[in-house]
Amino acid sequence: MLFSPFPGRLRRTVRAAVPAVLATLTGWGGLCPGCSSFASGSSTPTGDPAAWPARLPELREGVRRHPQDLDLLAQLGLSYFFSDSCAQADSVAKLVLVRQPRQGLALFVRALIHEREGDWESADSIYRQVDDLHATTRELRRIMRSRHEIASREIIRRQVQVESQRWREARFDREGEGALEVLAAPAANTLLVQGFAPLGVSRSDTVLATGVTYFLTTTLAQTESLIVVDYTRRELLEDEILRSATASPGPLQLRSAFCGAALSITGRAGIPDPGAAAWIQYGVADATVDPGDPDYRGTRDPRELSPPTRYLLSDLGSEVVWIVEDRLHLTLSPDLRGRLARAPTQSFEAFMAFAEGLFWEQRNQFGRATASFQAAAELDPEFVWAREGAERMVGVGERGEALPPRMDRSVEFSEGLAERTIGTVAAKVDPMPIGGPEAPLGTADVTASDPHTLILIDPRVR
Amino acid sequence: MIGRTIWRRTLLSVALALPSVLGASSASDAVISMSLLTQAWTIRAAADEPRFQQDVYAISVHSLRLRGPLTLQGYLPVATTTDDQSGVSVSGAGDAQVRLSWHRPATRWRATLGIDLPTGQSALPEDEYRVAARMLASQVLDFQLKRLGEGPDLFGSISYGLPLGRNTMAGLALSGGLNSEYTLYRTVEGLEQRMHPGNRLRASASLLAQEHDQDPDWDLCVVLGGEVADQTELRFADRTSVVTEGIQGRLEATYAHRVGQDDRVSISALLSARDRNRSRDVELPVVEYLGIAVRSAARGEVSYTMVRQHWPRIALSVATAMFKIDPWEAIDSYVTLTGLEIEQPLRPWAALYAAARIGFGRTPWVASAADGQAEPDDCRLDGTSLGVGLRLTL
Repeated sequence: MLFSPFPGRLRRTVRAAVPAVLATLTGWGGLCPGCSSFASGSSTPTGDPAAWPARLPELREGVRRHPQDLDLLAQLGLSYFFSDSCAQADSVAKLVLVRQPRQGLALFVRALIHEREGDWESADSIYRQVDDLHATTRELRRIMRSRHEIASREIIRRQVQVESQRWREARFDREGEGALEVLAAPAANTLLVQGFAPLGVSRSDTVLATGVTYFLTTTLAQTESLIVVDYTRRELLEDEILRSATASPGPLQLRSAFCGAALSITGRAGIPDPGAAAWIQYGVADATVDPGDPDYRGTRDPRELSPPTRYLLSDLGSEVVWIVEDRLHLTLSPDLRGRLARAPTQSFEAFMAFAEGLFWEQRNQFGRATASFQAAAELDPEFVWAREGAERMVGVGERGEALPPRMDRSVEFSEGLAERTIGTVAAKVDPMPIGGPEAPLGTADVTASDPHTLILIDPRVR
Repeated sequence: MIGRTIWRRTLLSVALALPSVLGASSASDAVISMSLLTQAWTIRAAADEPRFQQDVYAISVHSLRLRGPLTLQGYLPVATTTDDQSGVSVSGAGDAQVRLSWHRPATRWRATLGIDLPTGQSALPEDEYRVAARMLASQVLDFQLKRLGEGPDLFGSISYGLPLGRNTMAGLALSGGLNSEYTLYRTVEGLEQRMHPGNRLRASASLLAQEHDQDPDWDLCVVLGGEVADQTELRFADRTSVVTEGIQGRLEATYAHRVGQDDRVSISALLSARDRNRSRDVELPVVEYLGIAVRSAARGEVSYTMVRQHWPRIALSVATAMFKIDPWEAIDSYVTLTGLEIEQPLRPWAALYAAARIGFGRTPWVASAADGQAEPDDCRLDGTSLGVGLRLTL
C-alpha cells in the first residue's frame, strides 16, 4: 500500500508548489498575475488579482442586470474574496452552487476560502473534483490543480509536523535511557525508500538511481500489509528533518535514517562501467530495533547487485521479495510473490526511458518527461508504468513548462546554486584553494595573487 | 644529510596527513584523491635548450565531513623537480595545507580557517634553491608545486550567499592571511636569505545565475575580486629589501551551455591588473634578485565536456593567456594550452582520471648575467603535462 491519500499525479510538482504555499501563507500575495486569467472565458474579464476589488462595482452592476448569469455571479464572489470580504464571497458562491452545484468558479471561491481558514482538507476535496466541474476554462482547471498540489502538500506537512513533534518529545523523554523503542511510534511496517544516490556524474547514473527508487517504492507498495512512504511524503519528511536540524540541538534532531518510518532503504545505483552492467548497492535500516538485537530487521552488510542490465529488473524483483519475506518477515501469497518478482518490462531500454521520464518529471520538465514516457511506451507497448506516466502528463502543459507557475520566484532559491556560489566566492579569497579531486590536474590559475609567487629570481641562475 | 632531512620531512608530512586519511573511513562523503603529475617544459633562449622536468605526487582529502557542519580538507604534494642543464634536482614534500570549514546550508554562511604547515623544505642549498626558484618564480607556466617549506601561515575567511531569485545568487567573501618569515636558502658561508611575505586582505563578490535550479541548460558565473597586500621583506645579513605589490583587481566570467543531452560547452574570460611593483634596496651581496609579478593578464578558455553512456567523461579545452610582467613589460608573454581530460568510474567508490596538455608560448627568462645585471631573454617555451589520478569515495 502506498502511503498517500492523493493520486500519483499530485507528486509531480510538489517542489514547484512551495513558493505558492509560502505565498499563500503570507497573505495571498502569491496569487500571480497569471491566476487572474483563470476565468478567462469570453465573458470573463482578466487582469491582475489586485484589480479585482476595483471591479466590484462593475460586477455588482452586471449581476443586477443579469441575475441569471451564474458565471458573472461567481466572478462577483471572487471579487469579494479578493476584497477581503470572505463572508460575502462565501454567500455568493453558495448562491451559485445552489443553482448549479458543480459550477467551477464558485467552487474555486469556496476552496480559496477554505484555504484561508486553514481547512486544507475541505479545499482538497473540492480540488479533487476539478475534472468534473462545469463552466470551467482550461486555465481555471490549471490553477485549481496548482492549488490542489498546495493543499495536498500542506495536509501532509501538518501530518509530518505532528508526527515529528511526537517523536521529538518521545525521544526527549527517554533520551537518558537511550531507548530506541520510543521511536517505534509509526507502524512497524512503515517503510521508507530513500532516493537512491547516483554512482557517477553522468545523467545515466542519476536516471537509473531515479528509476530504481521508483521501482522499489512502487513494487513494495503492492504488499498490502506494508506502508510505503511515497515521494511527496519523503520530501516533506526531509524538509522537516532539515528544519529540525537547524532549529534543534543535536539530541533532539530527527534522524535522516529514521525519517518517519520504522524501516528505510538507502542505496546507490548507476552504470559506472562501459560494459553496460548496472551497479546497485543498498541497505535496509531498522530504526526501531537495535542492531544488536536478534529481531533487528535491517541488513547488517550492504547488499550489492551488479547484474547485466537485461536482468536488472528481474533481479530487483527478487530483492523485493527477499526484503519482504526475509527482512520484514511478512507472508506473501504465491500470486503476490509472483507479481512482485515479475519485471514490469523485459526491455531495459524501455525502463531507462521511463526512468528518464521520472527524472524530468521530478524536475518539472513535463515536455521532456512526456517524450521520455512515450518513448518507453513505444519500446515496450506492454509497459504499464510508461503508459501511466504519459497519461499523468496529459494536460500538464503543451510546451513542457513547469506547472504550477512559480508564483513568487524570490521566495525559493536553488540550494545547489547557493552551495556553488558560496563555494566559488570562498575559493576566490583563499590564497591556495584546495580544489576538487581533479584540481591537481586542472588548469592553473596563472594569475593567482600569491605572495609566494613574488619570488625573487637569481639572475645568475641558468 | 640533505637526504635524511628530506625523508624526515616526508615522514612528518605523512604522519600529519594520516589521521585525516584514517578519519575518513568513519566519516560520510569522504573523498580521497591521489594523483601523479609529470611536466616537462623546454625554454629556448638563443641556442640554449634547457629542460625543466617536474614530477608531483599529491594526496588530497576532500569533503571529509566531521561533525555537523564542519568539513576538513587537506592537500599534501610530494615533488621531484629536475633541471636537466644543471643536473640538480630537488625532492621532498611541499607544505601541507589544511582547511577546516564551517558551513550550514540553511544560514548560507561559510567560515574557513586554514593553516599551511611547514612540512616542506626550507633553507635549501643555493644550487637547489635556484632550481626551485625557477619553478616558483614563473607565473606563466603552471607548476603544481607552488611553494616549498615556509613558515606556518594562517588564513581565515568568511563568505555569504545572498539569493537574488530562484536561480540567481550573489556571493560575498572576505579573507585575511598572516604569513610568517622563512628561510629561502642558505649560502655556503652559512648566511641565510630570509623572506617575510606580506600579509594579505582579499575580498571577492560573485554572481551566479542558471536557467533551471535542478538541471540547467545554461549557467553563468561572474566574479569580481580585489586584494590589498602588505609589503614583502627580504633579509640577508643586516640588509632588508622591501617589495610593495599594492592593489590587485580581477574580473572573470564563465558561461556554460548544454549541448545535446549531457554535453556542455563553456567559455571563460579573465582580466587581472595590479599596481606596479615598487622595490627598495634590492641590492644584496651574494646574488641580485628581482621582484617579478604579473602586472596584468588576460585569459580566455573554451572547453567542451562530453558525457556519453558507457563512455568515460571527456573534456577538451583550449586556453590562452597573455601577460604583462613586471619589470619586463616590453616582452610579450603568453602561453597557450590544449588539454584533454578523461574521467572513468571504475567502481562505485573509485574513479580514475587523467589529463594531458600541450602548451607553447613565450616568457621572460633570466639569462646569465656575468656582470651581475639581470637581463631577461624573450624565450620560446613549449612543453607537455601528463597526469593520472585516482579518486576514492568512502
